[in-house]
This record gives sequence, structure tokens and C-alpha cells, in this order.
Amino acid sequence: MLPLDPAPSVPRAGPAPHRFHTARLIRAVLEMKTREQLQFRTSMVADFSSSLMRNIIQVLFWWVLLHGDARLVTWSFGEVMLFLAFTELFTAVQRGLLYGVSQFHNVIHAGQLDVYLTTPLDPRLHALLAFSQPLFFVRSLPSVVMYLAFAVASGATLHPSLLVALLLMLCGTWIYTELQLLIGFTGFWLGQVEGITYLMNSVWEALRYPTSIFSGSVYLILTYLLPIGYAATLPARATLHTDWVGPLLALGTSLTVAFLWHVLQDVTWKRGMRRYEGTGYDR
Amino acid sequence: MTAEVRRAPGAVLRQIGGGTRIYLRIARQYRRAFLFQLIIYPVQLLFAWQLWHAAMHSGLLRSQSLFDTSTILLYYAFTYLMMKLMETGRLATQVADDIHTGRLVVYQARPVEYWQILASQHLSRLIINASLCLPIVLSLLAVYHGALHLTAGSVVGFVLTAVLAVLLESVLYFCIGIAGFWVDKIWGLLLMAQFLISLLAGRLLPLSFFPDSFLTYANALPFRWMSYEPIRLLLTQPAPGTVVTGLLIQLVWLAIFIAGAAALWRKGLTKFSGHGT
Repeated sequence: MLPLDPAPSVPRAGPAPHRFHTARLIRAVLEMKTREQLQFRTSMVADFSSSLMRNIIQVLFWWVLLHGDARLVTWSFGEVMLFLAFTELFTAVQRGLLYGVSQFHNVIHAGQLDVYLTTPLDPRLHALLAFSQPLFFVRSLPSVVMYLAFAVASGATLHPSLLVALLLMLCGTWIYTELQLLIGFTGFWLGQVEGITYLMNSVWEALRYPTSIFSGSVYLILTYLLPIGYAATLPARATLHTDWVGPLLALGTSLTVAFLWHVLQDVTWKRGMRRYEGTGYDR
Repeated sequence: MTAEVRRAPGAVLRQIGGGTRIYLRIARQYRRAFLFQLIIYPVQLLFAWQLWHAAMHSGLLRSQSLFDTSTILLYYAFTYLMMKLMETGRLATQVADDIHTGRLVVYQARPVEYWQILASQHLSRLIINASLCLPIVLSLLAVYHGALHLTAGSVVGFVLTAVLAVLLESVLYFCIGIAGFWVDKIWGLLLMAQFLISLLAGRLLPLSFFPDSFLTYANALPFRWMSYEPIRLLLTQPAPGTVVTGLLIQLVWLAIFIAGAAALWRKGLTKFSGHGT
């Protein structure tokens, strides 16, 4: 008996399954957002000019306060400039790539979440991409360089632990993302929560100052619980450290805190989704 | 179509008062946002107090005769209070939005001047913001009044100059909003104005901290009268002549700003064509 030929492959009924590549989608969206931003060149110039003015005024503020050998607690002018470089970098990542998390309450309240739920992408990631402004990240880099130049010119010494410091800053960005999402998720229970946004924006004002100038419980909350300390104070301190132990310990702590916030965010998201009832999104 | 209406000042004030009551009733519907805003002002003051407490312990206030920890905290309490009362950024964006969306047409067709409607809205917001902040300010004054040696003259001087400061800044930001007749997006211009004013009005840092060479130029500009000078009158014991001089300077700048705003408004209206909303 001759072996049977293998059965011919039977074509599937219906459309072929679509392979969904998240990384490619993220890249495509970021490219599209960049091209979109490039259409508004006048706005970009105005944005860049106002950012530069803000940063020059910041330098002036700290120079007036800390000129000569003056120190605020332990911070000299050069060290504050290093701190501001990290603050600017944190803001650049946050506003350029993660702005969507601060808009999530609008996504829930306006019913836009319905649209996101029909796509194969996680709605949280979808919101991140939809509101991203990649060129914001690029336009902040000259200010970062300016602050670093002032820091080095004022005698601040940058050590190789700068690499750990950058990771610390990114951890701070991660914690910030989780916290902002949590605030946005209150929209599942409270509806419009613009008041909370204004309140958190006033808390983020503390980003302008090193958290170690604060005292008591304010210092503990801003350094270890909210991402403000991880955003710039701890990275700046880590860069000025001559050893690796302190920065690595801080990195370990920040990763733990970030993970705990992530777990809380995920649990809140699932609970919120169970109560969500969308009625569609009317643009 | 523009409805030109000439009304007696009393009628204008009654109209503004009526509009204010309406906007207060609207604000009552958003009580939850109101509750959150109650916390914002104390949070700002907490950061300011912590910063200047650290500055004092670091010896950064030694060269300042006007400021110690209590007076500088009061300085920032009044600075943030005046910023909340003004909310001038919102005024500028509202005017620009009304121009860009065509909503200005609706206001032009009403027998009420556009500036009267803006005044009603902002007066209602001022009342709400004052109710949020004044209890804290009055508590701080009660705690630190010994350090201030308040007199009737300094309080009256502060109130009068603060009212003019609010008007001065409101007219300036109205002019920025009017730029919407010529510019598509005013927010770049608005941000730059806000940063510049925060520096030159002493909101970022009291002007007495700056070197004399900087103050030579800063004193020639009107911005110090928007915040720094009214508060300085409260923290010191000014002679009556100083208060009167300050009021006159503010009135002169206010007249210049109003004339500028009126000219810009007339010019902008000739370019404007709205189709309703």
C-alpha cells in the first residue's frame, strides 16, 4: 500500500488572523506624532522660547539665592544646576512620552475609553501614545545641556554613577506614570476629577526644589513615596557620589516602590473596568 | 453687528453684579472641584515655608533687612493670594478662545459690553478664590502680627494698591488675549509673559534680593506694582506720602494699559469676522 499523500492544507474560513506587533505600533505612532508636531512650527518655536526663558529665570533665581559660597542646606549653586538638569530631563520624558497618563480621567469621563477598548492595544498604553508629544522631549535637551554646563562650570564633579542616576530618574518616571494613572482611575468612581489634577499639579511644584531641603514627614513623602525625590534629587545626589553603593541602594528602593505602585495601579484598573459602562464617544 | 450701549456707571455696576451672581450659582454646581482647590493654596504655602525655613537656617536671609522667616512666609502668602485672585492666565486664554471660536460675535450682539461680561466672570472667580485663601491668610496674620506691627495706614495702603494691582494685571493679560486677533495660538506669548512677570513682579523671589543693577531696570517697569510693592507696603510701615505716590504711579500705568487695550481692541475688531459658534 502506498503511503497516502498528506492531506492538502485546507484554507481557513474567514480572514487570516492578524499578528499584532506592539513595538512596531508604538514606533509608528511616535513617528506620526512627530510629523504632526512638525506641522505647527510656530508653536514649536514659541514653546521652545518660553521653555528657554523659564529655565534662564530659574538659573537667575538660584544664582541670586546661592551666589558665592552660599549653600541651601547642603546644595551649592552647581549642585542645584545638576538637580535642575535631572528635573528638566524628567519633565521632558514625562511630557514628551507619558503625557497621556495625566489625561486618563478625561479618557474615562468623555467615553473615549470605549474607542480604546475596541483596539487590540491595552487602553492605558493607547492613551499614552495618543497624547504623546515626542518633539517635546527633543526641545528640552538644550535646557538639560545648559544646566549641565552651569553645573560643571560651577565646580560640580560628575562621577560615573551618572548612569545609575539616569536609571533612578527613569524609575521616578515609572512611579510618576503609575501614580498619575491611579489618579485618572478615580474617574471610574468619581466622574470628572479635575480638582484632583489641579491638586497634584500643585504637589508637582515641589519638583523645582531638591527634596532634601524639606523636613520631617514632607521630606519622607516627597523623597520615598511620591516620585519627586526619584525624579531629580536622588539622581543628582547619585551623580555626585564617588562610590556606587549608595546609588545602587537607592535604585533598588526605587524599583521596589515602582513595582508596588504598579501592582496597586493594576488592581485599581481591573476593579475600575468592572464598574465601567461606556455609552460611546461623540467627537 | 455691534450693539453700542451707553449706560450710566451705576447701571454698569449693577449689570456686573448681576452677572457675578449668575457665575457664582454656576460655580456652586462644581462643589467637588471647589473642595480640592481648598487644599492647593496651603500646599503651595507649605513648600514656600519649608524652602525659606531651610534658607534661613542656611544663613541666606542674613543680608536681607526686610525679611525673616515670618515676614517672608507672609510675603509668599500674599503673593500666592494675589495670583489666585487674578487668575489672569485664564482671562487671556478666554479672550483668545472667544476670538478664535467666533463666540465673540454672540457677545457683540448683546446689549452688554464684552468687558463687562469678562468683569462679571472674573469677579465671581475672585470672590470664590478669596473665600478659599483669606481664612489661611488671616490665620497667618493672627499668628505673626507681632512681627509685622500692622498699622491702619499699611493695611489701607495694601488694600488700595492691591486692587489697582489686580486691575493693572488684568488689563495687561486682556491685551495678551487680544493678540488672538492676529496670532493663532497665544499660549507661547502667554507663557513668556507669565515667566517675565513672575520675575519682575517679585513673585519668584522678592525684588530686594536682586542686585541694584537689575533693580534699576526693573523699577522703571510697571510689574513691581502688580505684586511686590503692595505687599511691601503691608510688611513695612510706609509714610502716607509713599502710599499716595504708589497709587498715582499705578493709576498712570493703568491709564496707559487701558488706552493700549482700547486701541488694540478697536484695531482687532476691524479684522474680526465671526460666523457664530
